[in-house]
Amino acid sequence: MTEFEKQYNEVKVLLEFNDFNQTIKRVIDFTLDTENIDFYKKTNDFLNWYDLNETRTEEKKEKLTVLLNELYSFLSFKECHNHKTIILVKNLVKEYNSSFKLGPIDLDIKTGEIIGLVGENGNGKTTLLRSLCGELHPSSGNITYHFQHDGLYDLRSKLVYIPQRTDTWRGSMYENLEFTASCYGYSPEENNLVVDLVITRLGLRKFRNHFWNNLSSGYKMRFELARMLLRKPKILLIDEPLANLDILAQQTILDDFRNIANSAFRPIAIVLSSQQLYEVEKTSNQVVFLKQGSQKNLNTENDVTKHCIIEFESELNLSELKQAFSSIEIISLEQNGGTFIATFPEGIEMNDFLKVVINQSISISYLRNISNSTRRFFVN
Amino acid sequence: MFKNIQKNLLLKYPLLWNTKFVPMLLIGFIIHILFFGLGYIDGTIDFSNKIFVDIEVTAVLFGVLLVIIITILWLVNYFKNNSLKSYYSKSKNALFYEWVQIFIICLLLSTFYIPFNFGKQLHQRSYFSLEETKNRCETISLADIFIDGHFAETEIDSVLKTNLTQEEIDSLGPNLNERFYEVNNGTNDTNYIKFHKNHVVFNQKKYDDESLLNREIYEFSVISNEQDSVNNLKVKNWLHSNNQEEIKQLMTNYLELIHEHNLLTNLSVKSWFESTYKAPNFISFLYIFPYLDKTEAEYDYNYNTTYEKAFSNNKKAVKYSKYYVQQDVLKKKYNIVSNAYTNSFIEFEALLAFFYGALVFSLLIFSFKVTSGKSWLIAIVVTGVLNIIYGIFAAVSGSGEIYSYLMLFTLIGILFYFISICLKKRKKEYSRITLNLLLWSFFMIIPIIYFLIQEYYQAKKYSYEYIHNSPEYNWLRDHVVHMFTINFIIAVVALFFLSKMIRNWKGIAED
Repeated sequence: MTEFEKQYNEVKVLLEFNDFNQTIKRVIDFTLDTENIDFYKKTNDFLNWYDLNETRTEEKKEKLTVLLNELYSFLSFKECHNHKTIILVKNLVKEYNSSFKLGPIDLDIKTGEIIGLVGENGNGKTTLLRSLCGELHPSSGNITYHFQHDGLYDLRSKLVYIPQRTDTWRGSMYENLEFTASCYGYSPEENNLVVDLVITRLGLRKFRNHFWNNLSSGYKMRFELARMLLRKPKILLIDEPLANLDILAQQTILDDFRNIANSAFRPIAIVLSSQQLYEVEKTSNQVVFLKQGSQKNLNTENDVTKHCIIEFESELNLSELKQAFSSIEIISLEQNGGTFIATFPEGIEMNDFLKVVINQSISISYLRNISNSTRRFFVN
Repeated sequence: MFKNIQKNLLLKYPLLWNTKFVPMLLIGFIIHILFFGLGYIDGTIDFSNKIFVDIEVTAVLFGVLLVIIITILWLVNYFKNNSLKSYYSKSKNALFYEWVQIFIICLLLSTFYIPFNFGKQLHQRSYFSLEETKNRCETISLADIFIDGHFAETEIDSVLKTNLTQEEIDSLGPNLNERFYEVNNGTNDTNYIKFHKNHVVFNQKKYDDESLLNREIYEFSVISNEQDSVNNLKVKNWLHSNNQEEIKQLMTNYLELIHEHNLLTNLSVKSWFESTYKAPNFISFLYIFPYLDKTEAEYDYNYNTTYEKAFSNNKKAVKYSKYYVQQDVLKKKYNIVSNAYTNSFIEFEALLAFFYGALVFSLLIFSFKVTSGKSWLIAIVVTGVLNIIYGIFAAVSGSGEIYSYLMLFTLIGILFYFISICLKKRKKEYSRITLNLLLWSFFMIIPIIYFLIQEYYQAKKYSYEYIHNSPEYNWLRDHVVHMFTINFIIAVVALFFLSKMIRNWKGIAED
């Protein structure tokens, strides 16, 4: 089964369960994959119809099924893209006036991958992103780009970097996207169709004529993503995309990242930085933890240390908990705010921890095994 | 309509849409048509001197204000999108095309005076055909002898070398034998007094220097100097040979012109002829007032100064009669028509100046677009500071050339720095600021070198000869316009390559 067939089956399930929002997003992705103006028109026709007939569930489902099948028939003949390395980072070091040093960093970034950058503030996440997008020149080491480019400008036009504070743009959102599409060679016939698809894909359909100062920071970020989709980059580098989003929007945007990166026909690599560890870990193929500029790779660190580390919240205090866990071997028990971090030696597992909790009737309101999470790097 | 055009451009030609080229082109043409119309109105000539249409200053001020407002609105819209700053895909020549569009817009906006002048001259020419203008001007020109034409300078009789100053010589005025003299300043406090003869000889007959025969015709630009000489001789011949018919015919034609334009006179052919035609010596003729009111044709004619001189010399009582004719008005009006025919619509030098103005203006905008507002402002401050420092250097050293040399070396330094940044491809460093400076001044390198060479040749010649310049200096001085023309072409070609470099430079890391 090809990657596309897998994705097609997932969408069919979504449609069966009447998850129209997700289905429409995936249908738009497939439509953009076709790079065919007839499909752009068909999907746009459906979206225009949908605007006026949102409540007609059966008809909606029927139309989506037809469209999905047509897309399947077209795309099943199209060759899927093989994932390959597009950026190779070797011993990258970036020094700032001897006060801060990033690196050495080693990374192998492949198409279709999401790389999460985590770490405390001021530990080099943005510096690494800016280095990858060519904004900063490495002090030593090198970054090799494995795709065709003609000069530095051409290279940077293929790397989209979205900073945490995006630049102000002027004019209406729609006009800006039309301009982007036009600059990137979409024909006049395709331009508006593709822009309509992209803004719908990112939930901006209602805001098409809004201006920069009329949009919330979350929607400004979505606009940047819409612009990025039109630019068809090789890699998206995005700084703190979840910072201004509510929990639901965070899930949605991470889902979008996953789908965009993992397109069967036009996959891109995404490198994102975030403080939302667990969300990023769920979505990313690789997680890079940066501590004072140094890279800590989760898998490599796991090879060295196999401790079981549990994060939990309890009404008991530290001494009561130490007393309660005295029955099993414990390396450390630390309190950070209202959260406790218990570190157990190799051999002790989550179930052993739970047994103690039940036996000792310890009241627990939150619990997570962070043995395989970069969260443990934040523990002192 | 603009919206539809812009929408189509946005979808097909994003660069043209971004620069707002088509609307600005239309606005530019509308401004040119508007100013052509204003110029046409300004070119109205009321020969009767009752209506004065002079809107030139108002129109130019209005034009400047209009252009400033339109430029601001254009720039606000143009700067809305910056594909270079966003690293959008761009062809290698895209930046050059963008500059060309900015330049054309700037040229269109800054040249509104050209259609104004064109409309004005076209209207002024439209009153009479060239042939008709020449005929009428000739009549006015010849008739001036019989009205209030100035007297020709007589031959030099003798030259006196003296140590007296100009003032001292002038104070001797009455003692200078009532002869016309002029003082030439020599060197070493020596002055030369040139005495002129008090008569002229025409066809072997002597005439007094203030006889009618020594009066000169009035010169219009539409009549060539050769033709003026022929005409002058023609009238003198009429007088000398007592050809009264021709003179009466001239007076008749002239008075017809006066009446045609509703100008005033109390002359008839008879009274005019009788009061001015005093054959055979033509001395005791009457002067005709060339105006009704002295200020009606306020014009700085040369003849007026001579006329004043006639009073100041007090050689003979000026015999102004009771007669008048509005000759000054006629001369003024026909001068306008005459000049409209002889002046070109636009001088090449002026056109070149407009091109350079548009080049500077377009480069200021272009540099802002390709760098950043912050570096653009810093570059302005740097320019100001450099000029002050170099100005102080020049003042202290007492040589203006020092300033030019310092500027030249700075420009070359900036050029090499920018090229080295582009070749190293590491960091932009201060090149954002220097790129601004380079764009504002790269086209000055050749003119500075040219003028320094010119100065060198002049200085060289000064060392052994005071007045005459070297042939090299003269050649350079005579070819300044050619140099600026070639320099403009070179600047455009250089900009073609520079714009490619700027595109690559933009890709270099910021830090």
